[in-house]
Amino acid sequence: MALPWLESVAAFAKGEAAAEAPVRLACLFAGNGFHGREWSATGKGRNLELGRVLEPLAGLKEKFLFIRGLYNAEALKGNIHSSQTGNLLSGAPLSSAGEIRSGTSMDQVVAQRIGRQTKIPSLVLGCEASNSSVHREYSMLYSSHISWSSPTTPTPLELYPALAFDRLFKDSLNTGDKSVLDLVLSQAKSLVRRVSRSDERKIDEYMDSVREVENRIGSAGKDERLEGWRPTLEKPNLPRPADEMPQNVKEHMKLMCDILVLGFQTDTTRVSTLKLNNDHSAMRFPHLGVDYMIHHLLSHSDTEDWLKVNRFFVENLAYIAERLDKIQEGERTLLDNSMLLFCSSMLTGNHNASELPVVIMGRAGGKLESGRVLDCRGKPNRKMCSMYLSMMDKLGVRLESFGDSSERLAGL
Amino acid sequence: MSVRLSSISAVFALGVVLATSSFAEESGEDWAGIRREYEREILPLVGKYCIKCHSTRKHKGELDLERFKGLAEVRVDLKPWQKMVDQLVNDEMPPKKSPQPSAAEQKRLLGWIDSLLVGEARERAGDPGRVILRRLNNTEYNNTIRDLTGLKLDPTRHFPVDGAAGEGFTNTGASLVLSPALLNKYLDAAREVTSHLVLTPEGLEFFKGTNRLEWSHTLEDKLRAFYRLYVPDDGKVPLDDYLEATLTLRSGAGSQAAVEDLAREKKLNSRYLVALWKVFTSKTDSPVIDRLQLVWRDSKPGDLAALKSTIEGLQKILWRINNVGHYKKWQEEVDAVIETVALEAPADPAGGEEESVIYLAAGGGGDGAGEDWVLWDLPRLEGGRGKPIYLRDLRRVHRRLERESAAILDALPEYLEGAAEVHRKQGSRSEIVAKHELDAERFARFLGFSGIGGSASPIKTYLVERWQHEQHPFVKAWGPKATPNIVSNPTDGTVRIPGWLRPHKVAVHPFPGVFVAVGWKSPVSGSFRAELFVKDEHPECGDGVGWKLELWRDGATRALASGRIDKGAETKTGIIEGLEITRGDYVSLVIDPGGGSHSCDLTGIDLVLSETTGKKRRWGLAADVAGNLQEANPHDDSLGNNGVWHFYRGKIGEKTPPRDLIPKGSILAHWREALDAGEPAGKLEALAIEARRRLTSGQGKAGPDLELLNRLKAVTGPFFSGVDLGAGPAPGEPLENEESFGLAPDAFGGRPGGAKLDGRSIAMKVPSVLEVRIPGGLAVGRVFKVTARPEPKLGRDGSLQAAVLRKKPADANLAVAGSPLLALSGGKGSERLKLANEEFRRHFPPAMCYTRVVPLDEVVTLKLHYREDDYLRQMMLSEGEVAELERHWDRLTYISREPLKLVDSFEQISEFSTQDRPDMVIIFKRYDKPIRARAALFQKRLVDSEPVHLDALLEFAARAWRRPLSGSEKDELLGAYRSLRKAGKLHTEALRGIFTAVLVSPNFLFKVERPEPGEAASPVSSFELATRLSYFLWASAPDEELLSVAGSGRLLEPAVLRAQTLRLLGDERVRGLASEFAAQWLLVRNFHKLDEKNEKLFPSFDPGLRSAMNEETVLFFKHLFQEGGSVLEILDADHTFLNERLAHHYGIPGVKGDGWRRVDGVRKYGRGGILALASILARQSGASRTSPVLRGNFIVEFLLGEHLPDPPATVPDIPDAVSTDGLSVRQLVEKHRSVPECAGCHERIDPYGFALEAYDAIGRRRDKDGAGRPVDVKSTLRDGTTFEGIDGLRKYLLEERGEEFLRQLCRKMVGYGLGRSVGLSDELLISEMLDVLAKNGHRFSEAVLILVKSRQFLYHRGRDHVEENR
Repeated sequence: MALPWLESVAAFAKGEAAAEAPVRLACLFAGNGFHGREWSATGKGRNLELGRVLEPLAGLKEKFLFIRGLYNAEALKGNIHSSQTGNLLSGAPLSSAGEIRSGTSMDQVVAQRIGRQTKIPSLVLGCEASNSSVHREYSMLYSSHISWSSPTTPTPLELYPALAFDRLFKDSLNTGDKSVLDLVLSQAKSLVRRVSRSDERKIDEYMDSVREVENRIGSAGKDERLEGWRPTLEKPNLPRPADEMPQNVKEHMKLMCDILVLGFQTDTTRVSTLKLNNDHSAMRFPHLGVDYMIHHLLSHSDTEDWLKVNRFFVENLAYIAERLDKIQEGERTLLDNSMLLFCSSMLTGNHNASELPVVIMGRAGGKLESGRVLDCRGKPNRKMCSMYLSMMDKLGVRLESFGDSSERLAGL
Repeated sequence: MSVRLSSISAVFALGVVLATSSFAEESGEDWAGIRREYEREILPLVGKYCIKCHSTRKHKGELDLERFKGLAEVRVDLKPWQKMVDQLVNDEMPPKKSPQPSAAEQKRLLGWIDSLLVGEARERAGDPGRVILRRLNNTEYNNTIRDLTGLKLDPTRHFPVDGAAGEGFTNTGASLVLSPALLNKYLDAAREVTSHLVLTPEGLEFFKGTNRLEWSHTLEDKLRAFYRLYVPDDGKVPLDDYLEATLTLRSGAGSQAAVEDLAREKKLNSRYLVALWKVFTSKTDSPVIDRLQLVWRDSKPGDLAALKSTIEGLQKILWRINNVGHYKKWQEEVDAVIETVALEAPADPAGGEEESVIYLAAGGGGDGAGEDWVLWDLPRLEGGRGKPIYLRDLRRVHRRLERESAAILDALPEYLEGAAEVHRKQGSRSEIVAKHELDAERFARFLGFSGIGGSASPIKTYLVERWQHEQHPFVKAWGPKATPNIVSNPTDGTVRIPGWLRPHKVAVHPFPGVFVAVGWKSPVSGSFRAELFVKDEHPECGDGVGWKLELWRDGATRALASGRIDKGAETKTGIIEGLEITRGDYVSLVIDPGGGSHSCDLTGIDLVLSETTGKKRRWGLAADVAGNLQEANPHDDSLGNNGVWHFYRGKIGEKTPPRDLIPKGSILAHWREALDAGEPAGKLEALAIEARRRLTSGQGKAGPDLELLNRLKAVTGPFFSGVDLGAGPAPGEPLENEESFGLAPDAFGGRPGGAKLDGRSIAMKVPSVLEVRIPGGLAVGRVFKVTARPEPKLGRDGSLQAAVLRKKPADANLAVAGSPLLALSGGKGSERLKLANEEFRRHFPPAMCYTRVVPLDEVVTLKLHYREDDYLRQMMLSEGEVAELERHWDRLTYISREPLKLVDSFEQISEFSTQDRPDMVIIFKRYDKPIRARAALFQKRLVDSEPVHLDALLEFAARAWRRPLSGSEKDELLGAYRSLRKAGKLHTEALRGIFTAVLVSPNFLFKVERPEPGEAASPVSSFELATRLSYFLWASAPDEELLSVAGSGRLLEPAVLRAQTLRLLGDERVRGLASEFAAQWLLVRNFHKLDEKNEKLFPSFDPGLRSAMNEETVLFFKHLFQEGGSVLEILDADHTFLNERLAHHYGIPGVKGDGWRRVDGVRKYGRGGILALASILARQSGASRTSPVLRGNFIVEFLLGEHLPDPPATVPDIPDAVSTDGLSVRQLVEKHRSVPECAGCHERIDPYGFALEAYDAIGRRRDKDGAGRPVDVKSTLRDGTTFEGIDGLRKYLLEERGEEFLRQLCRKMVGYGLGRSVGLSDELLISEMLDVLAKNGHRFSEAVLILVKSRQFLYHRGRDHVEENR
């Protein structure tokens, strides 16, 4: 069990001041893959030719990186769908038959390393509720979670825009809560000695959660940045969304995108994960005039309607990228200072996971060369985890190895 | 070896073997045999057919079979062997192109695996298994909070959806994770729950609301509900029902038992009915009850009017109903034993009558204590602006009026001739008066009446309304309440009303367009000096006033002086000398509103007329009238002259033509016409003589002449205006006893032996009725008034009631029924009456209680709540009920904190009320101290009750944590509370903090179990067992009974465990099992949230219908579990649960309304059993069409538990699902099966789905599909079995696949009940469950009982158990 803040708290407590804007990481996910013929990009820079799925990104070709041929070896084992998703960001093997075990996902590894520099270590959002069943011995939690805070803890997704907003900006905790948390922590401590060995980690998970919440109370209202870079926005420039779940998918996704942008712009968090839908998704798209099948069933044929749906998802990526690109942070835009990873659990609806669809928007503060296609097909190292290692480097998180890889992705 | 092995998967095959071959009875495993067989036969077979691909080096498909060198290796990892069965029976392996094992080889391999697994299952049987520490899932959390608080709060509504693991349920520890974000939500949820926490005098409770006001409302509602158990909403007794019941009893036995029986039957309060029965039937010495009994005895069933009116009449006098909110009671008991009562009745004659008749009735004595005597004190006629006419004087006044009219009528020709001369201006009035020997004053009135020679007086409109100031009742006025036109102050101090009113002065108040005047009508002739004084008394506002002094004489007015004064100013000198005045002249001081634009015009005035010659008498307005302004209008002077001062008003500038009061067509009208036409004197004289004849002879009994006569003689009419009607008898004037009006003189005054009376009063024996006739002329516009009381001597010990009536009463006693009871204090009658009244009051209160609880219609009130229920308590409630009522009230006071609130509202009210009423300060001061003292006492009570809440907190924690608290846990909670208090938190705040902690504690959030140290399995504690049991069967916390059984340790006794299990199954909360286990197993849990249908195609699939489908599913299982039905009903029930909405969806007639009910015989509508549930049919369909694949897969995997092979890693393109080319769904799917990679599975699953094609994508029955093609429901299975439609499918499943279905059910039950995956170690248990089901009519509860007494359920693995990899 990782104790995230303990590792980084010392460094952070000194109040590291940065002169430059930090690099932000967003991981966006759309389930069930994309249109087999229209997910493509060729060429370079302004001359990039985009397939019809990616056309919504045409305005940002120079900040666009298309990566072909990456795969995740563990995803080829086990169940389709769930086993291709639960380890997408970790490359970890998945357990079946009653056990739930994956690996800590890349976004959460980053959050655990650099997350303490901001009010919220990371923001994990979703636009479709998790599926609470078991599919062929694999918990559907795997299909619904790409972000894992520990190998046994899929990070709960915030589905409600209002609550996501609150998580960023509301300080609902007070000092009275401190005593409440102290009390329950003490209860957990006395409990941990009494439960079975295998249950200890559940209590640990509990205690970690309590400690982190407690920590937020401690740091509430304190800005530990001493000098140097400041975010361009101090307070949200967006009203708090309504309490209810938005009526339609389009509105829901847009609100979540807005909140993601807001989190970065205010530097409330530097790591966000947005799961636009589940793998095995039951989302419907009446607003696109496509309402005869749910997302998952649509994915099995390369139709024009499937293309429409794919483009709708990419439009959300484009929306975030364009918004970030309009926010100037010194000489660069916020998009330049970010990496927006966009990926799916399979290339097309036919479950083919031997080449995953990957797009990265943004330049990681100049550390990433964009406006190109990186074709890894046929290369000896084409592991997703290698890409993650490279990406983490750019975020200042240097690991020897991650998941099934111990080398960086060439050319990234 | 079972033949089934060739067609179904290994685990089930194993189960069938275990169940059918009585495996459990075999003794000892033949591991040596198994080892031998493995080494000699199996290893070579595996080597021959499998190792080529599944070697350690190649390990194709992640499978390495080479590593299984011996049985030891095999037994450590059984999974590949279990999988191998699937592969073999499904002909998946070896691949088609590789060499295939012979049938015998395959059988040998399968047989060996079977014996291996059976051996393992037996050896591992009963292993408690790996149950990971489980937190409450969202449903369990909600249910637990519901059962802890009694409130449906749904605090997890914004929580992330729980994951499932194990056998597909959301109650497995592995899938229930925690995170900081979720912990935050738990904190919020706990705070939300805690916001409903209410501190009560006895402990703690949860209320729906979150603030004190809402809590008060809740308690008020409870009180109202309590009251409603006894009386209707208005608190009034349904008297008719009770009275009718007493009459019913009268014709029966009348025993106590009979009364109680009847009360039960009629739903009446039996205590009260008994009391009424007694009061009507017991001997009484109460004059009140006695009379009531008389009426009761005369009443007949269905005819209660007399009885009710008697009771209601008494109610009216014995209570006064006040507004609630001030300091009076709502139903204020009137001390009805009063000495006097002022009675009155309007005296106007009834339509068309010439006279009025008034009856003075006295009765109600008759209490057997000797004679009763009434004293009718000062009977009189009052009204209008005149002085009262005493009944004693009535005859005299009447005579005087007769004489007065006779004086004019007899001399009518002379008066008319005089009038004619005035008309023709033939001399001055005094000359004409002298010439015809007329009475000057009468002549003036006559002229006024006939409209000749100007007005009869300067009076425009007399002020008639009397009014007095509310705060200062001594301030009297004439005029409308809105603007009293003339007011007086008889006191020594100045009063502000508003505007200043000087002591012993009068003031007038004109208003826009209207002047107010005081006229002095001279009673004498002579020389006069007039002094006037006018002062604006409204200095803050207005614009001053105008004044005028006028003289009226001979029908004309002339101004003597006039002026204007400014705001706040006054006249300096106002003396007019040398006025020659004749008797009957008027001198008037007229005040107008000045600019006429403002109403702030209170004007102090005075007018003094002094004789400058002769007796030098003096008339002063203020001096004459300020002391008794309202006595009469006109008002007497202080020299003994009647009708001197006249108060009147009029519209400014209005010229009123002389009133012509002569009716058209009357004889005087003819005379007048003749006069106007200039007819000769002879003609006029003849008419005048004819007029006298008609008006004196009584000939004019009809028509215009009668009208004329009535007008002439009307006492309020102009003809007699100015005649002093109230004047006492002239000395020596004879009183005529024989007259029929009024009463004879000897009726007045005292009686022998009686008290000395005012000569105007009457003493009478009771019962009696006095009839008084009053001439119409004197009665019009007047009120007859009299004060009644017992005659002080003769009636000293008696009692009576009195009434003034307009209708002749048949019986004096009955007539006075509604009147107050009169008796003299100190007399015996008074004592008796008081008791009698109290007895009556007790039995017949208008209302038993004030049911509203909250004062109503009161803007300013000191009362938060108002209690008045003494009668209810006395007459209706038992001791226990009274205690309950007291408790309700005490809780309301405590929780609303009324005593503390009162301090605040008192301060506000007293500040508000005294800001312009300094005199009120003293009144409010009286209340200040008691209110504060009560608040202080209450404050102390709050503090004193704090320990009660701390005890309740610990009790709550024990319930929330589902076990008793240890000493140190208690200390820790209390310690945390104390430190919060120390940090400055209030009791409530600190308590809420600890409550929040209790609900966020791991002890609450997790189903904590504390196994024994070591590796060995140990039994769960009785509390842990209680928690396992209740979350299994209820998805909620153990209730009080279960905890108490656990506390006694007896839950671990098999019989007690059995009884509790059956109790829980029979409880409503088993709904939790229906939705969390059954619906979740069938993938339709929370079906109402399923939003996956095309809205255009299925507009009816709205949240309402989805909820109905969800409810049907849950109710179906809930009843099955609750009522101990056969689990085969899951497939073949002929009933379901419906409301109108769903029945309509199903096309089942005769189900109306939103209510849910069981409907039998639904098979004929294509329903019954889960295969026909709309929820399942819709869930296993696409967004726009059905899916035989999904439905078939559901049956194969979820109902029969078959293991299908994984789909190919890369699904080949399937035929385009959008362009249907006119194919039906079935044809499309069949096309799908033409793809070889798919066919293997689809052949296994699709046929089941085809059988259900007669149900559309939202579960409706259909004959044709969406495109109008007939549906085909014929199915052929892979093994050649055929069936048709849902009936065929159902029959096949029951008859051919029943065992698989039951095994799947039991397997899922075990998985859910234990919250983990089911493994080999559970196979024996499952077999046992199957066995017991088969032997007990498949009753669900039997399987549950086996499960809960299994080792798996009763034990957990040791704390240090190390998970083996197997």
